[in-house]
Amino acid sequence: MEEQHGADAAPVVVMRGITKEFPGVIANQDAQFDLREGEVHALVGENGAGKSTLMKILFGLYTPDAGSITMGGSTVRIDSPQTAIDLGIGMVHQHFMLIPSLTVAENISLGMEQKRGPFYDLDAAIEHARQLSTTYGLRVDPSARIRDISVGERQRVEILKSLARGVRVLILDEPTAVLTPQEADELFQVLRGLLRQGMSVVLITHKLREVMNNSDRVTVMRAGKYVGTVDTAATSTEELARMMVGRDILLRVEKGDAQPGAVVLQAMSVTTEHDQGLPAVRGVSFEVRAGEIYGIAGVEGNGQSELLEALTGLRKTSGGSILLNGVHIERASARRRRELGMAHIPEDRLVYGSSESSSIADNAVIGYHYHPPLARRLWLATSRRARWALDLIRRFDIRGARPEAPIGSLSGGNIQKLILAREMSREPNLLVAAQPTRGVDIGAIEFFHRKLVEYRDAGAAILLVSAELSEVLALADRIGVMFDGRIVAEFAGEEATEQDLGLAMLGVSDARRASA
Amino acid sequence: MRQRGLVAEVIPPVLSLVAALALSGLIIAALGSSPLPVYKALLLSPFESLATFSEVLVRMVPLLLSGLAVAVAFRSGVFNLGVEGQLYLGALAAAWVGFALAGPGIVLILAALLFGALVGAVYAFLPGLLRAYSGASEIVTTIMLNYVAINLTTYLVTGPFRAPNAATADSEPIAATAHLARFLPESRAHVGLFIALALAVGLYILLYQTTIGYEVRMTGANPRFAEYGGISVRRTVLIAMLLSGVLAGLLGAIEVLGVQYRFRSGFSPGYGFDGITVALLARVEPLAIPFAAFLFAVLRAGASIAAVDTEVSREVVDVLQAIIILFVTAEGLWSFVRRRHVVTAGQRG
Repeated sequence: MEEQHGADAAPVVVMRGITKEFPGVIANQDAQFDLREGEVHALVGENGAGKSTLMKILFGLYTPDAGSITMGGSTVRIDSPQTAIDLGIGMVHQHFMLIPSLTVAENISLGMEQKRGPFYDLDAAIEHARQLSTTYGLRVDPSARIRDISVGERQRVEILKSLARGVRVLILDEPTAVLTPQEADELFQVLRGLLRQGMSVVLITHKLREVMNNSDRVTVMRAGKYVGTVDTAATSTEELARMMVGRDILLRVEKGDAQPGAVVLQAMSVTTEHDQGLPAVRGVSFEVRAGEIYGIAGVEGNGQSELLEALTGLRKTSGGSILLNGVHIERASARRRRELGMAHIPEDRLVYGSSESSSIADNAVIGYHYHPPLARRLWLATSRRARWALDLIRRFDIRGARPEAPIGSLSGGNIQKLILAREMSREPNLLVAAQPTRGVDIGAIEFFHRKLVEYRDAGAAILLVSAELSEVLALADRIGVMFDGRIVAEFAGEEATEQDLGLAMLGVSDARRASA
Repeated sequence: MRQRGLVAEVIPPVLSLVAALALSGLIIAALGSSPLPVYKALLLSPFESLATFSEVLVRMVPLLLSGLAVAVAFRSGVFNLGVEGQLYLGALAAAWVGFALAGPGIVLILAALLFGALVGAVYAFLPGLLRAYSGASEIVTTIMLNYVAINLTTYLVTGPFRAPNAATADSEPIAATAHLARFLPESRAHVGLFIALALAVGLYILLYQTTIGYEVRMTGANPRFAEYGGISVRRTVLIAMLLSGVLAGLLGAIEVLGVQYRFRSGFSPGYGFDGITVALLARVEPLAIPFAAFLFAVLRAGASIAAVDTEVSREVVDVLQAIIILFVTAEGLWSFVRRRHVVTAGQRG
């Protein structure tokens, strides 16, 4: 798939054969990337595809297990961000690294302060920041405090921080995720200015429209591997979507027709906000019936995570209502929602789904720990608890697990199995499953899919959210596609094609409502 | 404690102790003295007679209770650095019951303990509330409230509660019937030790056998996991702070009823802060805290003896003691920090 166009510009960075393994997950496998001078090179892929890991390796935050990085023809070893900056590589992270109580100028000069005698020369710092700001066309007020300025301005400060350190290669990780559309347009104008001054930019994103409008070349990654590099002018969003999803790994799951029963979950015009206060979910309505799997597809960052958090009680809603078996739950606590029959496999199994240093038994009972048979009034039934954990371990075939061992001693796939086992153990009538198979091996994926279908056939309602299109297609009886905080299209499971879903996910088609 | 073998648990602290002794030996030798007599005075002399050993038991009680008070807050993920202030208020509350009320001994003792615990709990509840509802760092508020408590109690015993004819800032003595019983002949060792040991067992049972304890442990291990599992992190943090304050208040009350027999301004040599070291030394496990408190008390008692019996000055003995505690605690602190670090590292995308 790799196309070599006459080398119009020399590569500034070449990464080859990069492999990086985290406990239980191979984040990069024989990945490659090259960056030419004066280009915007987009790096795209579904979440978990390994884009951020690859760039964190280039910025010295991770050390690769294998592979080489060459700059200007010679091999370099980048073992820390400081080394990367010395080599002229800067990175702006998704989460900004600024000190809110200090001014713009102070943040920019941090670590390279100019001195007047023994004192910090604040005037020089402000002057320097102002110069940088005008040279590169990044408007900021050098003496404003970070906590008082907008998210877009903070991002400009981050970029200025890199520029002040003389970088020639700028890596931007999901730069528009937190920006309003106007701020995003402005950012790309600034980037074009930087290119004219001979800089090179890596743009990590999964917004394909952004890629088509603002990049010169695109590298696609999937499941930690390199898929290919194409010239933006010679490709289309459809082709990129195909490369991202991969048509060869269509999983088929044995399942009969759904027998939908009563409405279990009903969301009506639900709205909620990002942590930064920008709208994340802009009025979402759908319903999930007993005995069906409702899938939500969408590119990460279009409000799915926030919608799930609102449904499960981890995030406040700002409008609309949520009914579980006819009961209003939009203001109910997470505990109350569980008591009403909701179970939840969270998107991030290490942050929400488990407590790594706690024992498997402790992890196996949360949410039900205060109830018979696991507790009587205030007392834990410790022996019954151990048997309960053993029972889950056996039924879900979690190899190598002992109830008293810390859950962190298990592989990612087995931790996920324990979470699934726990959430199914009390036979909820609604199971909310977010990215249930992210980062788990193919055998476990099939196991999970089988369990979900069995569970549906037993009459439960299942809400499945996955960035893995093939998973949604294989499992869901109905599919809603989220884009920009809304459900823009709804399909019946058997009618949906990857093509239709892909287009709806990217917001490139009209919101076509197929019969559902 | 239940996951690794006993040997693997015991070896690192022993190695730390040996390393600390070796380094202290070098320092003593560099000062021109022989290290052996100092080691002997510091570590062995507390065991030489019943009198010295019973002093170890007296010193151990506040260290043990303070360790428990710090530990219960730690386990829920908050740092109660205000044990010092809470114990002062608890002590004054207990002393007030002892000198202002009358009644049979057992009733008076129970009333004093309860009132001390209650006042300590209320005083710990304040920073707990601030942390839970406004996000104010409990590290800052508890330290600041220490000054308020210490100065307030000093004011009260120099003013309203001052004993007539007293030369120092003391309260009136408590009724003799309210004294805690002593259990060794000709020593100050009192039954407060057994109360403290029972509380250590009680805290163990609370943490590992009750739903509240489970919620405290999960909140401390990973608050977002706890929230996801339907545990109210706010409520749990408040409960842990209340329990911590109860233990700190009891500490003050037991010192008054068992040792001081009155409230003396500034009576604590920093028990509230020693509790942090004791708790870390015990890796925040309630059943290990009595042992950590005992070791700490031996060193304290030994330091007093070493300063008198050897040519090495008191300041040097304090330095040696600090080195030993630092080495042994650093190992416990390290594993505690590592455990917490794992939780934050889990956030990587």
